[in-house]
Amino acid sequence: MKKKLIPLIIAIIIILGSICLIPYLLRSDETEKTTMNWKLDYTVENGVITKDNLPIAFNIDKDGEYIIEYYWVPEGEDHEDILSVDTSKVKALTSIRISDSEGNNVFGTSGGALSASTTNYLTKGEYELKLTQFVDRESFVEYAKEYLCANADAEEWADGYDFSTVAQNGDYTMEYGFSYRPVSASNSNNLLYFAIVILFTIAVIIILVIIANNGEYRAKYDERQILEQGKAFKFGFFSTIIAIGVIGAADAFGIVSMIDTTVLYCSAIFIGLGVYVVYCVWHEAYFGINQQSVSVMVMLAIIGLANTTLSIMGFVSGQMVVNGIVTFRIMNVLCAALFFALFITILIKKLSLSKTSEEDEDEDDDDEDAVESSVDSSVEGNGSAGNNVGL
Amino acid sequence: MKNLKLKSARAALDLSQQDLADKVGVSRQTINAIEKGDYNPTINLCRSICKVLGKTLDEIFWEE
Repeated sequence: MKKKLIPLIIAIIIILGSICLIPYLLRSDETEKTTMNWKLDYTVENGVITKDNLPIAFNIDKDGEYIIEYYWVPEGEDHEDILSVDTSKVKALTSIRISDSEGNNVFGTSGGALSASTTNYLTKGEYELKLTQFVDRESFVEYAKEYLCANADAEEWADGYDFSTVAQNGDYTMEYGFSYRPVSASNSNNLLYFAIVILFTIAVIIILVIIANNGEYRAKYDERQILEQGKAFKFGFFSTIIAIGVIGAADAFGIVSMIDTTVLYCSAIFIGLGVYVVYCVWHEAYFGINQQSVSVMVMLAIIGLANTTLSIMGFVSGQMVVNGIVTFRIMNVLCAALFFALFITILIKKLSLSKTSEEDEDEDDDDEDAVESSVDSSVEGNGSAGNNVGL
Repeated sequence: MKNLKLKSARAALDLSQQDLADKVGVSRQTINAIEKGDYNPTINLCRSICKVLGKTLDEIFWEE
């Protein structure tokens, strides 16, 4: 009875751990965003912009990683030909640049992108944001070399834009937007959840070690099962290596760019693990001779369902796919698939084994004639068997 | 090749595959695999089976 309870206890611990992590899984990565919007009036006269380098100051209160978002939008369609956000129509460029209080450039970009974001490490302090507009190639290259990129890249960058048509004379207005927000709301909360995961993992490991050191609960495998486990390990190992090779090639050629790299390589481990367990189950080497498969099947079903629930929650909360990229949360789906695959394999094997047992009985009848002579000879041989018991 | 000698010796003692497996300390599938000829047991397992069945190694495992 106790033996049956152990997988259940482990499953309960895992479920409790999962429940404790629900707030973390449902958290939103959106943190408080500081946004600044303004309009810039400027005049273009004979191809020269008369007003630029508008400095805007802002403060960063805490050191850390920040997402910077920015955009510039011309006011009215007429302006699109002058300062276009469409790279195919660019006739003047707007560049955004952020410098710290000592004047060091910490972030800068240019181009026709409507909006963009990146992650930057910003220390506490005052920063200044500057916008610069260009209507000729030379001034842009000079600026790019100083603030944006290496010399050769600046020339190449400038080649991507058409400065041949000088902006028409006139007065214009451009809307600008800029925002920054910390990547994570609270690292201390993340540390708490990390501690929960570690504690529950330790709890499960302790229980498994107790089981492993207790002769009554330790799984006992016979020599054929150990042999099959060795073969399973070999197949699992090579499956992992092949999967890593295929995934590595796909990753290198950018075929799977929509999936997070960590997920890709973890899935290779799952493939190897799946091959190992399915091979073991199929060759009756998964359960020890002193183990009951029913309790393990219950545990597998519970863990599979728990992972399915977490997968659904991930899809609902939108954390499974972020910005078109499949995130690490997809591992719940892989876990659920692995556990259900194992569950189904065990089920099929149990059904086929019960069928095999019936066939063996039938086979016994078929072999009866062939065996009879052997039985006679073995019965005759019993007399001498006693002398050989001590082999 | 099927090991009919093992099957007949087991039948002579009115033991099922599971009974023999329990006495020897292996799984029923292992006994089944030996009888079907799908698995060649180690000498230690052969000795254990022979002890339970009261036979010699030659009587159960020697092919003539």
